[in-house]
Amino acid sequence: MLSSLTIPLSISPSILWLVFLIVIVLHISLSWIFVHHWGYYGVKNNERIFVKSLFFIISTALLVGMMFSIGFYQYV
Amino acid sequence: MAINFEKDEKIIYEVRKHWFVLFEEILLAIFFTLLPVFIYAGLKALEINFVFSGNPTALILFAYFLWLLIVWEMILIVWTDYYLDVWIITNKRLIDVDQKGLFRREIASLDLHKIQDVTSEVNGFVATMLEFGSIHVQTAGSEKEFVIHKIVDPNQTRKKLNDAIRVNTSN
Repeated sequence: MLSSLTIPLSISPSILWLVFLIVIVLHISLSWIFVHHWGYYGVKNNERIFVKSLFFIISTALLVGMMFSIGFYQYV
Repeated sequence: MAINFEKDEKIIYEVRKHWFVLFEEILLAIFFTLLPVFIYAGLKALEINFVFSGNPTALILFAYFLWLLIVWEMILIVWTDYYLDVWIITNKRLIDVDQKGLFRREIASLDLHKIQDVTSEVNGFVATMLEFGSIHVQTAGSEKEFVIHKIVDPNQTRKKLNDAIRVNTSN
């Protein structure tokens, strides 16, 4: 039988905020690319509105979730 | 739209790959969303534990939300690739738009009067049930052969293309 292994991980909240900032910057860049491609290369208007809304709602929810997680990690 | 149509050119038909192509990729994405859960269960089974300096649940949630965001953006890249990969039949030519990822796009066009033969092919049980297959378009001389795989209803597309060729050559 294997003996248990315990790995200590010390991650400061400022590192998580830095990761979050990098993710925000990358996400904004990718969003710009998506919106450009869907508009410029001809995704139909109603489909474009649907996909754009879905994309922004889900990504915003995930980003907000990440932000709250860092808050909880830091203060709770 | 990034395709330059001639003044009197009209789009007759647009066709994409079958939704099954997208479905295969989405299944893979679903597997990826669950991957951290499997890894977590594996670490538990091996009795490997992590001790965090802050709230461990919050850190795990942060990592999982980040992972889901990456998977979600991958799904959107796959969808964009799928949607922008299209064959357009106009009254003058056949346009093959081949989107490869976000930053590579090839557009080839072929005048309808140069087309010599159009063949469609449905191969396999799933393809027969869901009605998808390939279309091969052959031209005179050494010009590139147009092929599209896993297209929706290839027989219907072949018929539309043959009709367009017939009208084009009769004018």
